Order: sequence, then structure tokens, then C-alpha cells
Amino acid sequence: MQLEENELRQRVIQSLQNVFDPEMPSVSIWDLGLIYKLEIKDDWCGVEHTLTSMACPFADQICADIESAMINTPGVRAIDRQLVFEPQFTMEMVPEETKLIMGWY
Amino acid sequence: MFDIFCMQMTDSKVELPTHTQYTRYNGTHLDTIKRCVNRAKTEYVWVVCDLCDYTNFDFTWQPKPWEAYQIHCWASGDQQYGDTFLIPVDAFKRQSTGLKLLEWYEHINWHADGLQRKPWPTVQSIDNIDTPYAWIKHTDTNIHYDPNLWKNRNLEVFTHSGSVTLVPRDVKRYFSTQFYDYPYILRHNTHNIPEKPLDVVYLSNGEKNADLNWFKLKDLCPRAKRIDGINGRANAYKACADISETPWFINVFAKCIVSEDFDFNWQPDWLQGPKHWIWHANNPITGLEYGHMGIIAYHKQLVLDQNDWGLDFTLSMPHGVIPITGSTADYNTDAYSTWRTSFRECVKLAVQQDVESRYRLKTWSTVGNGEFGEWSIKGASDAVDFVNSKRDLQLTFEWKFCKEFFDTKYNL
Repeated sequence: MQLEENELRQRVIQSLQNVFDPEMPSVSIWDLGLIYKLEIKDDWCGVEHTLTSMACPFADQICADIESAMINTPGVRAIDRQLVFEPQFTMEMVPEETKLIMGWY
Repeated sequence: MFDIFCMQMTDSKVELPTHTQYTRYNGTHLDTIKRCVNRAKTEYVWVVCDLCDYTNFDFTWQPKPWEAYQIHCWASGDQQYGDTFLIPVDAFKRQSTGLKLLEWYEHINWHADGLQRKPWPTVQSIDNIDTPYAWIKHTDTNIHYDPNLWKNRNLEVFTHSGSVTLVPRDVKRYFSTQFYDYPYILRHNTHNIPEKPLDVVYLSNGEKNADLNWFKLKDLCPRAKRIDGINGRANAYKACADISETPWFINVFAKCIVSEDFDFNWQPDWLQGPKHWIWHANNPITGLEYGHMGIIAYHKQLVLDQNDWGLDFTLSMPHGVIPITGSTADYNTDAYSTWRTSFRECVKLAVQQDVESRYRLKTWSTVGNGEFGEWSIKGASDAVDFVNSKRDLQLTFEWKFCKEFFDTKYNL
């Protein structure tokens, strides 16, 4: 069971790596570090995520894209997506790997 | 003749029989009626309202015997829940303890052949509302609407943008920065009121394609006006604001090629506070699409009042983004213009620490498509060096400084 959940988790991550903020179309929301929490239980997937700012003009689209990516991941049957703004997203939350690729130093 | 009590909701005079007693309106119709009933000395009591015209009303009217226990309510214009009542005193007192809403009364007899309310005044701002409701209209319309005064006073909205509203006086107690601070908002979608389009102002000052882009704009929007040859950014914006006759104006810049499907009938959300609205622009050199060089709907008064700003005139005031591409940036007309546009924008981006700014700066620094694209990249690189040099960033506003910087470094 644990193995299956790990595999499903990797699949969901792959799906989320195909979701982009339209203003930053070359870095996925996963690689930006906008996903704060990813939980898998059997075929249920829960995500807690933020946006780059509360005033993000593409908020609705990004939220819808995340839901779509989650539910369309093979093996996922139920999802729960929560948008949070605590903690507030800052540059420090961008993964080091992404900073390196983007030259954000 | 029965006692008559007039609920005073305004300061206006109303023609009523001489024995009418006047009573202060106390929050709701129900509360005020309860007070009138307790003071009544007749079997029935008329409770009327100074919002209505009673010139031809028959106060000798009496209910039929089988209607003796009913509250009789006369409509106010189109509003069934009117403001004129004949109340059976004893029957009402028996029910009144359990009544939390007037419509809970067991027997209400509705009289559709009612009275007309006097029209609500039209005011410029909520500070001027001293009647239960007042119109705030940003477009010409003769709309008539009779709200229900029995319940919470709704802010009645008659256009999608909120340019025509019937605003309850109660809004004043809730209003902090915007109408959305008020909890009771009712939208009407059936009135189909044509909205007054905003002024469109084209701003140019010697740009290479200024005339070309102006004629393109005039083709798309014949009502556009033009301001040309004003030196100084703030002076130019204020000149645009001066000729605008609408509270917002859509400012199109000479370095914008307006999209053919741009909606010149766009309206701001009038229920929000004053702010500027920025459309996205496509930048063919960098491939980025965001507010830089975009069309802006400026709030006229904010522009006129603004005398102090930081690195960015628009962003130093309240603003919102419209994530629709309204234009294509047209600035790569020569090496210097391309460099300067990139340099100035990237100075702003380089001092920001948010992820979008870092992303955009990275793109400006690495992508330079099309003619003079390499000068865009050079401008970005010079901007980063300039910011790191800790020099006064305000210098980048000065055309003379930018030109000297460019000439010294590149000696073209």
C-alpha cells in the first residue's frame, strides 16, 4: 500500500509540474514552491497551496488548473484543494534547484 | 376618523390631514408601527410615511367587516411591501409580541392600487445621502425602482459594473474603502441600461510611430482624444486627466499597438474604491505579457491629486490588473529607444524581491527577439549593474541622464 501511495504521489507531482502561472510560463507551480502540502491516502489526494500574491490576477485559472491536474492523474479518485496565504509566499520558499536554474541569486 | 401617524424618514413636508401626528422613524417599519399602535386612541390607526404623496388618498376608507383583523397595506409604486398601513389596533397588539418581521403578521391585505413614492434624490457621493435611499449614477438613465423598506436595506445594483446604484443611507455606517464593505448587495440583471463609455486619451511625445499608432487607434475608437508634446511624465498624465470628462479614462500610449478586439466599452467595477486598472501588454522582444507598457484606465481624480510617487507613477497608487492582453508594445524602433525602455523597466524590476519580478528580470536579461533585440538585453543588464551600484534610482526617470549613460557606454 505504501509503495502504491508513493507511486501515486509521484504521479500527482508530475501532473502539478504541468500547471503554470500564466505570467511565468516556464516554471511550474510545483517548481516555484507554491504547493505547501501534498497528501495521498489510498486514491484520495489533498493539496494545500498558495499563490505568488493574494492579488494574483490568474488566481481562478491556477486553482482550476491544479484541481484538473489532480483529478486527471491516473489512480486519483477524490481530491481536496485548499488555497492558503499563511505562510506568505516569498522568494525564500522557491526551491534551491529552481533558483539555480533561473539564476535567482 | 382614525388616528394617523406619519413615519418621518426624511425632512420633506407631506400633505396630510390636520390631526396627523408625526413620529420619528425607528429603524424598521415594524418597530415604528408598534410604537404608533401603542399611542393610538382609535380602533384602527393609519400609519403612513413621508416618502409618499397622499394628495388624493382617501383616509375615510374603512375595511369590510370580514377584513377587520387584517393589516391593510397599500403598495408604494411597484413595491408591494409598501409604506402605508391601516392597522387594527387590538388585533395587532395580540400578535405583536411574537412578531419579528412585519410579514409574519397573520392577515395582510395587499392593496395594489397604491401610492407613489417621491423620487429618490441623485447624489454624487454617499456623504450626501440624507434620505433612506439615494441614486448614485455614473451613466444617464431614467430608471425607476421602489425598494422594499420592510427588510434590511439592500444596496441595489442595476448594471454589471455598478455604475447605476440605489444606495441606502445605512451604507455610510459600513463604508470604509468600497461599497463591498456593505453586506447587503442585490444585483438586478434585467434593466439592460446602456453604460456611458469612458473617455479614451492617446498620449504621445515625439515617438517614432506616434502618428501611425494614433491613426490605428482612431480606426478602432473614433472617440479617442490625443494629448501630444507634454514634457514630463506626471504633467502628461495630468493633461490627459484634465481633458477627460469621465471619472476614469482609458490611456493609450504612443508605444502601444492596440489589439483589434480591445473592448473600448469596458467599465471599471464602480463598487470598488478609486484605483487604476492596468491591462496586460504583449512584449514581442521578450515574449512576456504583463502590465508593462499596457493600456491603463486611470482614475482621473487620483491622477490629478497625485503629487508624490516613487519609481512608478501608476503603481504608487491603488491599482488592479486586468489579465487581458490589450496591446502590443512597440518600442524597438531604434537601439536607444529599445535600450532605454528595457533599462528603465529593469531598474524597477531589479529592486523588487517578489518572484514575478525576478522571473521577468531574468527574461528581460536573456531574451531579445526581433529588431534591436540585443539592445533590450543590454538595457536589462545595465539596469542590474546600475541598481547594484547603489546610485540614485530616480536618475533613471530623466531622459537626459539615460541618453548620457547610453552615449557614454556605447558611443554609437
